Formats: sequence, structure tokens, C-alpha cells
Amino acid sequence: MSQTVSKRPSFLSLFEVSATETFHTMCGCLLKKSMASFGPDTCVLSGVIGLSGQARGSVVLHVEDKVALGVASKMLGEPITELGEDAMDTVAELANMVAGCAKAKIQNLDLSISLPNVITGNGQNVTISSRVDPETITLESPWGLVVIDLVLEIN
Amino acid sequence: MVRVLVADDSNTMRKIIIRSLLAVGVREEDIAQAADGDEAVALFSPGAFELVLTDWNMPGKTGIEVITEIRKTDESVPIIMITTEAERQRVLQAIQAGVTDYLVKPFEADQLRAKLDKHGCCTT
Repeated sequence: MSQTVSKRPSFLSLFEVSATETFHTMCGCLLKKSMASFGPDTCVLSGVIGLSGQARGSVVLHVEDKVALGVASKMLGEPITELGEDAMDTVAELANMVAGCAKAKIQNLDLSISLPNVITGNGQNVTISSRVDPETITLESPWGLVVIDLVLEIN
Repeated sequence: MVRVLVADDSNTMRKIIIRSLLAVGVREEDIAQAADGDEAVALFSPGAFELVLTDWNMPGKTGIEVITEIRKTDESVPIIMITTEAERQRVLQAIQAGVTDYLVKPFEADQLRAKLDKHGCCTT
């Protein structure tokens, strides 16, 4: 019986560490690994960052709406109760910080990151167009789920 | 009186920075905001600000280009880069452009306050 062994290096753990550091520093909270997943009706905000350099790909940070509101309230120091500009912009900045923090940990790839975009929808299912399958990790924050999708292909 | 220019395309980050500026005694009317690099360059003139805080990755001119433009007319105003760009090469690039100080995102409020204090921003 043959077994396929992937030779593609995985950088997902670096993005997990970066997300943990970002949430801890900016919100004073811890993230824990989770086996849960978004429900079909869960409102999700997704911050999308393009990666280029000696590798190329994307990282997408998906958060439940209540995570976006909780983090925005914490970071801005005032209650944010609507999914408006503050919540959207906070998710964009979170994605930016997670991607930036991770790329600093893999300096040999000389990565550049794009400006973030944010997509909202129910039970978010953002598809990354790539020759390789995305790696995914789900984390639990005090407000709800945080999911990271990563595609990073060495040139 | 300390006048400060804050350039960051993230409204959230500008609010965080401005909250820290207000906390150290900078008056709201002495803070100018730019949402991109072009706006930052347009707002800047020599003698108009005692401190500039700029992001790196912004629409229009990048933070590096903002610093380069400012340094053409003002060699002394302190410029703090606040960015996710943490790699050594990036920091060196910013130093070559003329940055005065550097703060990597994510950061804690105390780290920003220490930078503001270091560059004469704390009036309380």
C-alpha cells in the first residue's frame, strides 16, 4: 500500500502563533485550538491578504460577527454594536497584523503583503484559487470562532 | 503644544493611536489625520508638526515614500513608523529613508506611549 507524503512545507503554525500573539497583544485574550465550525447561518467577516515574494498565496482570517464586534470594542475602547465600518476595518487590521507578524517569522521568503480586503456573508465560504489545497486551523476566542485559511506556494 | 500628523489607512489604527495621543495630553485640534500616503504628504509642511506617525503599507504613497517626501523639506521632525513590517531589511530601508523611530504592530498601549514620551509628546 503506497502512502502519499506531502513535501510542501507548512507555514500554518506560524500564522496560528501570529494570530495568538495579535489577539493577546491587542485584546488581552487567548486563542485555543477548536474542532468547531461555523454554522450555515453564522454571519462571518473575512479579512483577505495576498502574499507574494519567493512564495505566493493568500491568507484569510475569518471571524464570527460577535468576534468582530468584541475585538473592535476592545481595540477601540468603546462599545461597537453594529457591523459597520469600525468592525469591518478592525477585521482588516487584524488580518494585516496576523499576516505581517507571520511573514516576519519566515524572512527567507522575503514576502510582501497586500492591503487587506474584507468580505462578509453567512457561513462564509471564501474559495482561494490555487493549485494547492488551503490549510485551515480553527481557533476559539472569548467571543467565538476565528478560522485561518492559508495557501502559500513556494515559487 | 505638540502638533501631530497620523497617517494610516486603517481607521481603527488611527483611532487607537489618537486615543494614546489624547491620553498623553495632545489636544484633539492639534492632531491631523491622513488615510493614505498622498494625503499625508499633502498635509505636511515644514514647521506644521512636531511629530509624524506613519504606517508603511497604505494606498497611494507608501510610508517609505511619505518619509522620503518629508525629508526633502524637513530633516528634523521626528517620524515614527508604526507597521507590521518587522523584518530587519525593512527596518534598514526605513532608516535609510529617514525614519526616526519604529514600532511594530501588534503593539501594547504602553509601547506606543513610551515612543511618544521619547519624542516629546507627553504633555501630562
